[in-house]
Amino acid sequence: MKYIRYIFFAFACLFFGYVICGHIILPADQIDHRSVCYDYEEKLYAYSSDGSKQLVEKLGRFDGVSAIETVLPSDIDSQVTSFCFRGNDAKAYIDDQLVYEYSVKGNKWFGTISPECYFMIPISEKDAGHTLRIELGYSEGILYQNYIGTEFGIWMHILEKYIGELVIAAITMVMGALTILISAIYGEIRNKKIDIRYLGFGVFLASVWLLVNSVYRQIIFSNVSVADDFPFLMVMLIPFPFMIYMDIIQEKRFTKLYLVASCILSIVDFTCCALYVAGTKELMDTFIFVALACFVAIGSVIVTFVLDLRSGKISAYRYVAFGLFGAFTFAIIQLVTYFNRTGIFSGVYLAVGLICLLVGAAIHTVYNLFSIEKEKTAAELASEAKGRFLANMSHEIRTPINAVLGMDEMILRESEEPAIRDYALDIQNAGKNLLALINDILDISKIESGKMEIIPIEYDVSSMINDTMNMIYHKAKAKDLKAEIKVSESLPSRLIGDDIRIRQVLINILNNAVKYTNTGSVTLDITSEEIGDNKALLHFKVIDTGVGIKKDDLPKLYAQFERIEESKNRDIEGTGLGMSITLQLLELMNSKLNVESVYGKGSCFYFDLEQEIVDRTPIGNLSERIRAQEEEYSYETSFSASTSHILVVDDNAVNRKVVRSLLKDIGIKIDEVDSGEKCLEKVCERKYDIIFLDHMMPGLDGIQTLARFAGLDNNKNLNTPVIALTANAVTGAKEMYLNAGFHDFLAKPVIYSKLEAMLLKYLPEEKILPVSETHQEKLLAAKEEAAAKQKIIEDLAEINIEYALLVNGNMNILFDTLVAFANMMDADARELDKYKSFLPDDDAIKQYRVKVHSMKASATLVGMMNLGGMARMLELAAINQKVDAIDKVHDLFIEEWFRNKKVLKDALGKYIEESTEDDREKIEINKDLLFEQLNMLKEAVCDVDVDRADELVDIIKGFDYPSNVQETMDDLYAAVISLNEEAVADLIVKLIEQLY
Amino acid sequence: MKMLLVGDLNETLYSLNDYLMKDFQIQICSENVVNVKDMIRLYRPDIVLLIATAMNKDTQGILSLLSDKYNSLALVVLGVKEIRSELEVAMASLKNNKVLYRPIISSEVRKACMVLLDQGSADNAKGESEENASKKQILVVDDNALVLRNVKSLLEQENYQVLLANSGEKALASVKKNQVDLILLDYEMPGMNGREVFEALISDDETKDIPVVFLTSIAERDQIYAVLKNIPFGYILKPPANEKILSVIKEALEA
Repeated sequence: MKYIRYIFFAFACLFFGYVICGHIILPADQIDHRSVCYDYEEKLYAYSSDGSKQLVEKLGRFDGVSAIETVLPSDIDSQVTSFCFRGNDAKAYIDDQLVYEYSVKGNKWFGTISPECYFMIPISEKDAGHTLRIELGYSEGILYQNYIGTEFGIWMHILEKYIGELVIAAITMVMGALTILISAIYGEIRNKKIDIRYLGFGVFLASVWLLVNSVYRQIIFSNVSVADDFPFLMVMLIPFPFMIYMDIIQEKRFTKLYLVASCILSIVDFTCCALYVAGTKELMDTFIFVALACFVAIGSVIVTFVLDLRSGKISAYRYVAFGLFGAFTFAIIQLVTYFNRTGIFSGVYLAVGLICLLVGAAIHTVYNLFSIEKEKTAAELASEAKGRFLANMSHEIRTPINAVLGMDEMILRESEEPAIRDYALDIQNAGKNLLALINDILDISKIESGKMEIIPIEYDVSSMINDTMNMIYHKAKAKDLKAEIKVSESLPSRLIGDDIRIRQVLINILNNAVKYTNTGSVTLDITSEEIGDNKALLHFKVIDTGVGIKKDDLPKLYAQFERIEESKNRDIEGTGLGMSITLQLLELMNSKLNVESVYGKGSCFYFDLEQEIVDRTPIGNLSERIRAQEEEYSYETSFSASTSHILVVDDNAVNRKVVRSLLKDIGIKIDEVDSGEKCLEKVCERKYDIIFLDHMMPGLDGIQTLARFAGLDNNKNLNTPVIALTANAVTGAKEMYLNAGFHDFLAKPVIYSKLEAMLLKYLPEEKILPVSETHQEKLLAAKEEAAAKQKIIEDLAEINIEYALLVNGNMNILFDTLVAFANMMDADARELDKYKSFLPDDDAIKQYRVKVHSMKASATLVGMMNLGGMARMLELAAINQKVDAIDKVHDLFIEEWFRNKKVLKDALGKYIEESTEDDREKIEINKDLLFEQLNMLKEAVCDVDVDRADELVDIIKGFDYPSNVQETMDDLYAAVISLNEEAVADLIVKLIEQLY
Repeated sequence: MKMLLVGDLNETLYSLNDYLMKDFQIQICSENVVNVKDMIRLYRPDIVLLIATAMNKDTQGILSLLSDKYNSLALVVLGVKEIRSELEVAMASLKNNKVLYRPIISSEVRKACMVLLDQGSADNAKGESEENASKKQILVVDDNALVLRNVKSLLEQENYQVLLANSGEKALASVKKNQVDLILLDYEMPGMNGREVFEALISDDETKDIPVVFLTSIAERDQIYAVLKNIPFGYILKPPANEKILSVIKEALEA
């Protein structure tokens, strides 16, 4: 094709070159066009109807003239063939001989006056000097533009004279037509109507008017008399499109004014036409009224103009305004010329004015289109950015809500205060609502960006329905509504479809139904029919007895953010996105939501879904099963799984804490790590029952971590259920996680019930132990006791509780330590006294130092700082061998020691007694057994087996001892607490001696 | 779960005791009707494991005691085949029981006990003891019983296994006897002090690699230097914030 192009250009250049050069170089050909045209300069006489004759000084309109006479010049060019003038009906005589007749009478439907035309009266050289008489058809005829020459020459002359008008008319017409065409095409493509097309019509009409009013019309139109009516008709028509256009660009501010003007114009137009048709008045005669009506139209435009100019609103269409200004100016000039016309009336000024207007309007339109386009692009960008922002923010918002809801759940579980529980419940409700809203926003942004997908998978129909009803049952119950379900027993049990989305749609509709229903019931009705090709058509119906929807409001159902009867339903929560999401989801599933509603009675929402059948087995009486289940629903399912061990992998410490706290009561053992790498180490160390693995983590993320499981050499958890923890609970998430090898996924924020369900589902059955009511009570009692213990310790002025807690970790350990300390204090003091008595023996000093050091440690351990301080002084004295210093302080210290002991015993009385005595029924001493146990005790203390020793003491104390050994028993107990081997051995011997 | 282990105090009983110790809190009791009767009252076990070698008076008595008074108490009898029929007669009226016959491997006994207590399967039990096996064992050495008890509760709460010693001598003996992963050592003790224990530990090839963390209130420069020159893993001043102890322990165990 390249060469073809070259050839084409070469030919073009050659041809044009040839012609241009030929014109320049070669001499002009002398061709006789026989085209001559002279102005007729002989005198013309006008005969009035009364017969009087007078010289015509100026051609033009003749009133009361019946004929015109002239003597043709004596010398006529031999080439001349025609005597030309322009006028109405006429007959021409040369020397009383009729040579030419023009009349359109009989060629017209309406009216009598013939239109102006050029007459070509044949004359020739031989007519020189003869009289030419032209009898006019009307008493008020016209006659002007008098030429003689050849017909062609005369036409050429006329053409030259009026070429400007023709060109302008053509330009106007082309512009008008183009405007119409472009706006039509643009409108078609962009599906948007453009205002300027009205202006295009106006301008096109004007150009038609110009053309039909021009001198050439007798060449163009075969029936000139009809063509002659055209300009009048055009004038009647032209103001309409302009007014329509102005009204539009002035944003309908002056519609009434234009309406009035249009009405006047219409009436005038109609009247004139009617008169014309009736033959009463010629269009020409009534034209003045049409003109006046046009003035009214123009006047109203001017008025609006001035008004807009004053209010500044004109700037919105300033280009049009400039155009209009030009159009007005030229229109005025045009009018002036019209009423002052002597010869042919030309609309050229008006045409120029209209072109001005059109150009102005075109600039306006183009400018507008560009700015609209620009704004549209900007708006699209903004909307896209908004969508992204929403999607991102929704994610971001979920994370803190996660923390809030998790911590709140902990408050709910741990707090006993009703007020605090109420607050926490409020937080939970609000948080859940917030989450629901955010999920809505996420969904809608996903739908809008086309990212929402329907992922068909095989699903179990009964569990889908079951889940749905579970969701709705609570809400209905809270409003005292009946949540009913009617499921056809023949429903296939397994289908292929996107059950998550179906559930979402159903829940949305059901939620709405519950929201808008105050009494009565909400019913879910599902039936199905098989439609061949292994497909089933499911009919879903949600029927409520709610407020219903007015017919007029039905379309609002389909609008985003719309609430029906907003004012009345103000208290109903939600984004208003629910329905929109539902509709769009259904659309994605090739379905449609239908509504039938009786206002005040209730509504029925229904839709059909086509699903592929996997298993045709009928699901049976599901309604009954669900009902039964709902009745059981109120029972808390609680269990313990103290033998289970799970691993929680999450980089966020708060999330781990949430899981740990939620599972505290279950007694499950939890290992936590904060990264995928550490998770991989852990799974090699031991077998877990479940692994909760966060998806988003720095380093290895959850999916990568799981993918590496199989590659580990000694992974003990290849078959362990791994559950993805994710804040990313979006469409397709489940499939994604299942595909990645997870067993399931758990959306963050972790909700206790979901976590519990997860454990119940994945923990080995034998590890799940039911928790009896008494266990719950025990837990409660334990909590109460902990609170009581805390109170006791807080009330002890001698104890620096902050310090003690820091060292002991928690209140329970501190309390136990304190009890043990109280029990040991006597023995400690006695021992120290013993060493004191041997002073200043070197060995004794060392023993004293070690003992007082130990006592210092004990005292500070329980937060008794003063006592610890004194012990420290004694220790220092012992270190420095200052026996006199010891002498001075020792007694004070022992005194303080016992004082503290008394304080402790008083405060802890109940608990100390509990450990020295107990409520068991004492049993008679079984010597055999006692010896056995005492022996074991000795061994246990020797082995520093604290648990065993404590247990044995507990058993030994179960015997019914004579009162004389009680003291020995107490000492023995204290010795065991202090793990003092020798003392225990001595005391056992002593005890046995005392008993036997 | 509290178990009362009844039988002749012989090797069979002790080895079973050692084996079951990880899953049960065990109290041993000689096979004597009165003792058992008293023990049940004193100890209130969840399960009784009776090792019966012959159908003597005590065995008969214990069984009839159980069937009369503690009919629903879980009972596992580890008998011998020779007395099978007699056992069956004696246990006819007992509800919650299981009879096993020797020779038998200890894990079967445990399994039977677990099943009887509805504690889940043997696998489960195995997991439990595996867990115990995988737990790090920490030896705490301090002459102050209060500190020992306190640190023990703290560490057990954090899932460590804890051994205690209230003197340096006992500590050294315990290290030899047990698999110790870490030693928390006090300085000031009667008898051997912490430094001496530490020196003894590092001079022995078997124990020199066990990380030692000093947990002591001795802040005398000389003593610290004396200890530090042998490079213990850590040196924590008493009384320590418990979080400090835990983090040092964690660090030491992971190193």
